[in-house]
Amino acid sequence: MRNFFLLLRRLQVFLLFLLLQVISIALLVSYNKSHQAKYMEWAYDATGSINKRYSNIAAYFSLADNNKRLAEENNRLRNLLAENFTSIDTSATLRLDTAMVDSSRVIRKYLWRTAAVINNSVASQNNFITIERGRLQGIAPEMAVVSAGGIVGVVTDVSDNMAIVRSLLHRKSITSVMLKNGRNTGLLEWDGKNPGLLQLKGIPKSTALKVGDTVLTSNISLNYPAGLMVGTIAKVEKETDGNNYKLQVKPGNNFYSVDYVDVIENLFLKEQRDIEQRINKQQQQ
Amino acid sequence: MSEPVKQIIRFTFFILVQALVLNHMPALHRFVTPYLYFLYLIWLPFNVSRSGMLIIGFITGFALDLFTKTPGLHASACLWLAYLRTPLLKLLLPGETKELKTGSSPSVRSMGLTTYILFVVMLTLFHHSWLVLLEWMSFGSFLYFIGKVFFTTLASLLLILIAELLFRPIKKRRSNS
Repeated sequence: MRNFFLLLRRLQVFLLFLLLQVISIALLVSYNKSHQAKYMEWAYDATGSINKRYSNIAAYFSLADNNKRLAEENNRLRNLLAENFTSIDTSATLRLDTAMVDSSRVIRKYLWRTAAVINNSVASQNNFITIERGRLQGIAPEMAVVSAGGIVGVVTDVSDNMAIVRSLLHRKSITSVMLKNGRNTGLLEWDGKNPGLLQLKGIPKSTALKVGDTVLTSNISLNYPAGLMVGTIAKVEKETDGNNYKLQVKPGNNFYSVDYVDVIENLFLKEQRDIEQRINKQQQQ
Repeated sequence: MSEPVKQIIRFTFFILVQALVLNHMPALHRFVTPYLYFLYLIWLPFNVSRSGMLIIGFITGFALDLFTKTPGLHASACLWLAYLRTPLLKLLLPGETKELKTGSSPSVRSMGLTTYILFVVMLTLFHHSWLVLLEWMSFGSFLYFIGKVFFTTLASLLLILIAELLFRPIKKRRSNS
């Protein structure tokens, strides 16, 4: 027994090393599996406050760019205003209906909230964006995040005042998208190589497409509203085997400078999940 | 300034520079992500015990992990560095066990130019190899792995050189080196 303790004493450094090493690898593996961990929550708040101070300073350097981007978006939205459209028929007059309440009234499906980006990475294999809005401001995991240029990613983890967004530049990010022409749906992924190119798979070779075509979010995506800008086709690679294209897509959003984003909540998400699960259960029985 | 206070200030400085400046650098190339924070571990005094070294290494790595949201990745790489530091010092400075017990830290002055360069290069290479290996475990391409280790190490060594010249200019070279 004494010898055993002597041995332990002699090996104490090695054992401590082994113990700490096992702890860190276990943390890494478990976190990589889920990207959600209770103990990381306080870390988001702690590092978030430092990141916020930093980004407050850094924001001044991109003010001009931001202004330009906002002006462009304003311009695009103004063009959609009803006053810009007129009916050709000159005999038609615009009349205000007194019975404004429509019996077939619309129900809100998506709720948009703005958020400031306080930390952002593009250099690693799995990139995350930290935004300054959290559980207390109504953010929950699985909400979609978009910026003026295009979609950005999906919320994976929230703390009280911060949220972590898995950017499209993440090796486990898969988004359902469609081509604007033809509406063929495919899956958008990232191979971890070039932050300027995403990979679109699952578009059959019979589809007519060319470089420069627009890619939008698809109508079967759970998180994103349909028809949001994703990017444009940058390169068409015909895979020799298989009957699908492998497309390189240039993201519309500039991941090097994301400053403000919109977080989109799908208010029907739970309902859709529930009904789909019910069907699955019924079929299993 | 007392030693612990100096070390804590240095620790904060290294972690913040890494997390707020170097990690935000626009990637020159997908191979190049320079790291500097582990220089803190290299610069620790000679007389830190091995267990102490391991714990400091773990804390340093984990502090950066909280910023990069990769719990365990940098901690694991720093642990290797901390574990190998003392044996490497004994190997590189065989006759000078007395000096290893003093409170001075590894530098060109205390170790001699060639020995110090060898010491830093070996630890950097080891730290980066482990880091990149873990980061790219699922990726698989060996050439990619070697390339990334090589270029990241080069970038980090360049930064270390700058840090050396900035903070510890060589006043007097050691006579017997």
